[in-house]
Order: sequence, then structure tokens, then C-alpha cells
Amino acid sequence: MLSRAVRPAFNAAAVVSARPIAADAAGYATLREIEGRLKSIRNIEKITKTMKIVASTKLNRAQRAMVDSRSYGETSNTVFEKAETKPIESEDKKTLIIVCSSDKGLCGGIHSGLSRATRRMLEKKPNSDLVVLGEKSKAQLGRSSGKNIQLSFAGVGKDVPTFADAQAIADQISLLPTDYADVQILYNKFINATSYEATPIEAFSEEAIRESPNFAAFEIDDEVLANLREYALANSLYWALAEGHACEQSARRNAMDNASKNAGDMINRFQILYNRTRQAVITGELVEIITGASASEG
Amino acid sequence: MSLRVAQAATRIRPLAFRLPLQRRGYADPVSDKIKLTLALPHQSIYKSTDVVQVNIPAESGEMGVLANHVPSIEQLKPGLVEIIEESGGSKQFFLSGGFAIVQPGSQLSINAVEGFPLEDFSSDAVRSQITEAQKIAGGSGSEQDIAEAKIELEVLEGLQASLK
Amino acid sequence: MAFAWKASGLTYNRYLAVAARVVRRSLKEGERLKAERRGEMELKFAKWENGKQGENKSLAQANASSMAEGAGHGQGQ
Repeated sequence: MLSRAVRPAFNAAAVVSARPIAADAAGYATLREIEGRLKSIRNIEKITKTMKIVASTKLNRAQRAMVDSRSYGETSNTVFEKAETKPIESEDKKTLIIVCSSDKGLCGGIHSGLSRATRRMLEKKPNSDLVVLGEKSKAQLGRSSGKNIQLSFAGVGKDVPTFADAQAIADQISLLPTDYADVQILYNKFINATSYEATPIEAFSEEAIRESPNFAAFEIDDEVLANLREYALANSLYWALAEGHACEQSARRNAMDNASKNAGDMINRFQILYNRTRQAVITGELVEIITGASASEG
Repeated sequence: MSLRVAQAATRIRPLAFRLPLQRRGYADPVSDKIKLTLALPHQSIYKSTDVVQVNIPAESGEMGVLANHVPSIEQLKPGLVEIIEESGGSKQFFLSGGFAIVQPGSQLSINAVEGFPLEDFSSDAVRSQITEAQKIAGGSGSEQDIAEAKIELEVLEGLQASLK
Repeated sequence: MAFAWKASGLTYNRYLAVAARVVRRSLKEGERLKAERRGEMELKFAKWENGKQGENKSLAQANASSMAEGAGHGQGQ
């Protein structure tokens, strides 16, 4: 390979040659341009690779939290399965949809998937109320369905969500003045490392629990039913937030992995282009030197 | 402790003894076990594990849960849950509060917010917090601050008694 | 089985959060530091009216003041 220091000599040779120089000048400019592009793509690759490593580390923690939260949430909901609890069927009572998104982007279509699923639910029940957790879906739903939104929460997704987060959200939701027939917690369900699906978890009103077909099978002190309902809402919210968070970290890792792969492909292509262009320039110069030499001999 | 177990055992509800029809002689080894799930938001302590008996600190009173217990929804006081395992050994955890649900079919689901074995606690930390909480509970703060200090005292006194 | 905390306006979730907090604070040093992160809550929230978002406020403060308002009514949803 020719070192940079040698090139000016070739340059000089090119200038003195009798051939028009425009093509060669363009060749040099392209070469330098390609070099510049290569350098910036390499930098981007470094950044996306680092972000991928960070996301992978966070993903491990997020997935552990997800597994525990899921088992916690399922345990909490077992009683409603056994009691065969169903939402109240009522024409004049509304549905509440709680959308579990987050504040952070750079993770593929994770938030827009939730927003789309919410809009589909709103098409069926247009008068449903919305509570939106996280700024991303808030921005999307605020534009299309702002009138349905009752509450929005910010600060979601900085780290693995805490149960204290879920409890505080549940408390604020319980203060909403409407008596809902049905509460749907919409979250991203983790299917595998590359796919997730917007899925609802049902949360029940006291009335719905009391009217469960199989509720009479259980002994219960009347006073604790309200507490159970409050707690179950927090439990399901925690599960939804923790699993959604794991999906988000997984999607972010994949997005950064893809970006790094794309950068790698581009680097290869530009490297080949660079080599070819340089070869062409050298060939051109050699031709000129030989032509010049034979001209001076003649 | 043995006294407490005996006490809990006497509170077992009558239906606990209504075992399904069995052949005479040796009992089916599965039928006298209860499947326990004890889940915290951040940890699954038991996951559908066969155990012999679980003593829980229900708001309605200490309760011993055996196989075939009548289905029941119990709010838990902050306190000790004791699990008698198949091996005959027993384990204790101090739970901060939650719900225990005896499901049909000898299944027990417990959800609690925090839960630790007793050796994870510091008696000094408990003692100093009792002094602090007593001050607030008897002070002139807001009604909510006083109510919270009283909740703390209930938990701390329970912890102190368990740690002795 | 009347709950004293309910009369002071606390919700069951708040009752549980207070009990969990004091349990974490009673742990030995190493366990305590790990556990206390689980009690953190720094969310903000806003009420919406007619498609317009109101001001973002601290959720902890808003919850505390609504419980103060609920005191005496035995409020609990």
C-alpha cells in the first residue's frame, strides 16, 4: 500500500503530465470523500455497539424482573380465574383502558404497537376512557384520541419499574370519578427475543368480583374485598409495567444490533469502493507516467 | 414456638378434615399436601410447591392451612408465615402484608409486598425505629403522618416479638 | 375488623407501601440497601380535560393530599 507521504509525488507527476487532469482530480476528491464517510460510519458503529452492550446488560435485569412480576401477577389473578370473574355487562358503563408505554424511544415500534392496539379498542368502544403511562404513547394518542385521555403519567421506564410505582398509579386511578364496567391494562407481552404483542390484562371492579359465578365458594370478610380489589389492580399494573419494560429493553437491544449490522455492511461496501477507486487512480497515474516517459523518449 | 403451632392447628377450620373419599389404609401421598405459591413482586419464594401445612397471620386470626381447606380469601397482617415442608422441616418468613387465598383443590396463593427470613433483620434497626415511630405517633403531626407511624409500630412490634 | 388507617384517609395500597417501607428499613445493612430501591417512586402525572393535558405534578404529593382530603370519610375505592 502506498503511504500518504508518497502521494504528493504522484500528484506532481499528474500535474506535469500532458493529459487533461479533471478526471484525476475528481478521483482524488472521491477517494477523500469515501475515506470521510468510512470514518463517520465507523464512529456510528462504535456508538450503536456500545448502546447494544448497555441495552443487553439492562435486558438481563429487566427479564429477571419480568419473570418474577409475571408469576406475582398470575398468582394474584388466580382467585378471579377460580371465581370465574367477568367484567360487568352494562350498556351505560364505560371501559377504562390503561396503556403501559414508557418515556423512552430508540426501541423500534414498541410504543406505536400499543397506540395502534388502543385505537383498535377505541373503534369498538369509542367512549372508553384512557389512562396513559409513559410519554411515548401519550404523544401518539394525545393527537388521535386526546379527548378520551383522563390521566397521563411521566417518568416511566428510566429503570425497572418498582411496585411502589404501580401502587401510586393504582391509587390515582382509583380516584377517577367514573365507575367503570371494565378495566383493561394494555401492555406489551413478551413472546420471544424478537417479538412482543400488545395484550390486555383484565382488572375487575368490586361489583364484578362480587357477582362472579363462583365467588360464593370462597369465605371472605366483607371489609377486605375493597382492599383485595385495590391490591389486585396494583399487582396487575406492576406485572404489565415490568413485562413491558423487558420488551422495550429487548427491542432496544435488537434495534442497536441491527444498526450495528447495517453499519458493518456499509463499512464493507465503502471499503470495497475505496479500494477500487484507489486502484483506478493509481492505474491512471501509471498510465500517465508511462505515456509521459515514452513521449519524452520520442 | 411449639405453642404457637399448636394454637394455629386448633384454628383449622372444620372442613379441613373433609378429605375426599379414600381407600382405607395408607392415604394417597398426594392428597394430603397443599400446593403453595408465595410470590413477592420481585421474587417467587414458592412456586406451586407441595407442602404439608402453612400457618398464616390473617386479619381474622392466626390460621393453619392444610390440604382440603375450605376456599377462603384472607387479608394478611404484617407477620410471620410458617411453612411446614414435605421433609418435615419448617421455614419462616416475615411478610409485610398482602393476601392469602385458599383456592379450591388444595392450592394456596400468597401475594405479599416484602418478605424475608428472620436472620435478615437487625434487632438494632427495629429498636431504633420503634423509638422514632412512637415519637411521631404521639406527636402533633398530620392525621396521615400519625396513621403511618401507627402502621409502622404495628409492623415493628410484630418484628420485635418474632425476633426474640 | 375496622381498619384505623382507612379512617385517616389512607388507601390499602398506601398502607401496604408504609408497612413494606418499614420492613425494608429493619433489614441488615447489605439487604437493606438493595431492598430500599424497590420503594422508590418518582413519577409525575397530569389530569386531562377535553383533549388538553394539564400541568405535570408530583404523584407522591398528589396522592398524599387526596388522602388528607379523604380522611374522616372512611374513603376507599
